[in-house]
Amino acid sequence: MLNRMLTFASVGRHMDSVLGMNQRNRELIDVWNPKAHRKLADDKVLAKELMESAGISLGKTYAVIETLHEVSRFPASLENRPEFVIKPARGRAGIGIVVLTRTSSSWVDPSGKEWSAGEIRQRLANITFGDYSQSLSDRVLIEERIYPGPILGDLPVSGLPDIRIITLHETPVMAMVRLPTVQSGGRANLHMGAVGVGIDIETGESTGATWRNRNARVHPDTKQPLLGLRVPQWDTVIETARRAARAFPLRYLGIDIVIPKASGDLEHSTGVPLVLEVNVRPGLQIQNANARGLRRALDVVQVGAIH
Amino acid sequence: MRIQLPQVTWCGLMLIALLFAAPLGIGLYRASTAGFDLTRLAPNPAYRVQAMIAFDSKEGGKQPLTETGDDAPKGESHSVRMFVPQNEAGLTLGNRWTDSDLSHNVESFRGGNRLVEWYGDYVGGRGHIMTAFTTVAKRIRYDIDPKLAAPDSLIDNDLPFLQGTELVPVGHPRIAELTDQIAPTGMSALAQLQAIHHYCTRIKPTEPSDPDDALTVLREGAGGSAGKSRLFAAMARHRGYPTRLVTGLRLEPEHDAKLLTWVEVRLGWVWVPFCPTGDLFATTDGKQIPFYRGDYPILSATPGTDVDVHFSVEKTFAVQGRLVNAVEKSFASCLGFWGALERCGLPVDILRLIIMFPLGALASVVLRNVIGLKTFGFFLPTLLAVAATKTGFAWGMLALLGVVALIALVRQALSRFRLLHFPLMAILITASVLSALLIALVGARFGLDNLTHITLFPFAVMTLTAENCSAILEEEGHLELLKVLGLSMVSIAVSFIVMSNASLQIAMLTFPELALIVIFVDVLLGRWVGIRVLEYWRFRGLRRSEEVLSHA
Repeated sequence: MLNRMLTFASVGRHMDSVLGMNQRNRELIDVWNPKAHRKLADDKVLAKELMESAGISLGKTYAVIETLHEVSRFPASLENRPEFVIKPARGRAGIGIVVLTRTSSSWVDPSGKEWSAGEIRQRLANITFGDYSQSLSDRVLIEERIYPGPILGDLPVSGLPDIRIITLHETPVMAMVRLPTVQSGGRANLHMGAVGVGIDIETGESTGATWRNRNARVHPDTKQPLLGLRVPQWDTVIETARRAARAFPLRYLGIDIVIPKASGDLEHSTGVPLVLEVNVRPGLQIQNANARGLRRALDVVQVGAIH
Repeated sequence: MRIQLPQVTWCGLMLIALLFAAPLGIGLYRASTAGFDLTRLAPNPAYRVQAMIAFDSKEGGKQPLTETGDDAPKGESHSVRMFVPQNEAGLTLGNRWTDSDLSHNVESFRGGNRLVEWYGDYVGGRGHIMTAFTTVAKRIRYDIDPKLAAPDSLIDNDLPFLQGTELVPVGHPRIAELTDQIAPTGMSALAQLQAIHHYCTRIKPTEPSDPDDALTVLREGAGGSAGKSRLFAAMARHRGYPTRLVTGLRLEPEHDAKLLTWVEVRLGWVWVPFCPTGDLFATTDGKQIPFYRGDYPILSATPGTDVDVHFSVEKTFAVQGRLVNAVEKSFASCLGFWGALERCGLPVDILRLIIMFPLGALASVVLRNVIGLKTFGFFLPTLLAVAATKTGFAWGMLALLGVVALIALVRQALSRFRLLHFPLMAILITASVLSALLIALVGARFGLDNLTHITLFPFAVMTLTAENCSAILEEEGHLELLKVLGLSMVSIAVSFIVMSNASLQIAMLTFPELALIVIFVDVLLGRWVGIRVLEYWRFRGLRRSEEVLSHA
């Protein structure tokens, strides 16, 4: 059981099962995610290397840029890539990420904004200066663009929806699908306005949803019902999460998985669930999406781990 | 509710002993050496008074001086003179500090008053003289013997204090008539003075600039502090009491300090104060500093020179050697230590904020980990609160809003240049410094002290604010910035209330070991893993659905 020395919390029986920020930080992250290893998950480049060696399916890496000299070689270095995604290796909450498609004279992002080579070089340089990762320097990860396939029943997808799975000791304990909305600007971040749909960990079926911190039954943009839908390839998704969790020396993780489109138009779009990234400080909103607190599920796993 | 008893380990016991029992023990021991009279250990409230004299010479100097009072002229040059307070019963003055546009100054004593004269060549135009001092004023109550008889014989020595003047017409028939009516002979001294005081207290107050000789006040039934005091003096002198006018400063840190006149009546060999304006009968309330005695203007200057004075008062604590008494200097009190630090250039004004940082940080912890407020950084609200104690809360918040708005504007204006992050930060900081200086300049030009104090808003803190709000703007947009700004202001307000609380400051200055107990509370909070207050709101839907489950 969790060590609850000097715990004088838990006022109110019904909050008993809720995992709060304080308990998450002190009894899960501090205990199970040693500081020295956190960079393995925080740094997308390191995380990919680790998972790659464990044979986990990932989006394809086109390039990793570390220095200004490499920045100056753009666009020659990505000449053969009609589409790519620029990510700060240690960015958070999707900040600094740009998805670009080549046109005849320049590049465009999904919002239709045009980017010149100079603008892209500036973004790359700013990432290497650490502007998007609150540090003095960072690396740029340039990846293939992933086109999402259906993720929840036959709901049409926009942006890049993903599946967040919380694991403790490699055991998936809670899951949700994050659906970008118009408000979230295509990003799958709940605090920016994405919808969180709770998924039954056993069946892969949606059981509840939260949007803007309120219960939701329908998609805010399309008004389509969100409950009772299934995530395709659920067993593979869960297995992928388990294997990804096993690859890290960290015990409490949020694994983000995407299901790419199955049609064979694009390179590498096999429809196999891919790990997008791994989070050492997964958020608590998943509890609202599932209308269920995390504590009991976590307690069960911890008891199991000790015995 | 479920409360689990803590499992106390050896390590925990050591922690409790070190952080809780030890400071408690030390504090109790020190309190016992002062006989548990905590006022003997705590710093006295004191005031820092600043007088800003502005003079404006239209003729460019080299004027012969004219006489004020009974002084001889000093020569040909600009001269400004002001009466300043001196140590006396119930009033202790700390270090005085002067900064003047005139090169020389000399102090002299006039009729028991201390007069400072600043003089020297001055090229003309508007000049300033600033003089400041710290003071501790004590309350004194005088008991007048009810049997004390009214005076019947005059002592030669008292003549100046009994004579009439133009403003205090002692022999005037109307004064005589009124005095005979309200304080007839045959009453005791106490009864007569009470009657006169009571009469003058009830006179309607007016602006200080209105005519204020005793007769006008009597005729109109209204007058300022000088007018009321002159009427008091006229009646008291008519009854044979040696009486003199006292002019001094009323200390009200929240408001502009104002000059005030009251009277002193000699009973036996003691000058007893009566203030009809503040209704203080034979008592002082520790908030009035006498500057001089006699019916003169406080300021005088070379002819052709306009001169005026503006006072500001700030509350502080007395730790300097001459302001504290012997017990306060003993081992049990920390005042000697704070005094030593003050002599090394760490004034108690800064110290009292530094010593409040542990409590400010604790407030931040409570706001974040117990309440769950999201703010600019963790400690930034506390730093901003400290800065606000120098400018006043409202002005501090105005400065903060100004900085945030400016940063948003400058970022917008510079966005087309696509500057790299750190140079952009440097520009934002420079812009906030320049705008603060501009605001201060405007403040100085129009005599708005609070605006000038905005420059005191530390720029290191501004830098952090700039960087923080810049990051939020970039990552989460304007709405989130406004939200975080609002929550930060709540947090700043709480830190401000905690850190500027005079009682808490006195407690921390008297018992600095309390900081260990603060650490103890931090340790408890650091081990507390309960649900934050705002999380009850965040997970309210979940609570409802669990209720449904538990009822099913």
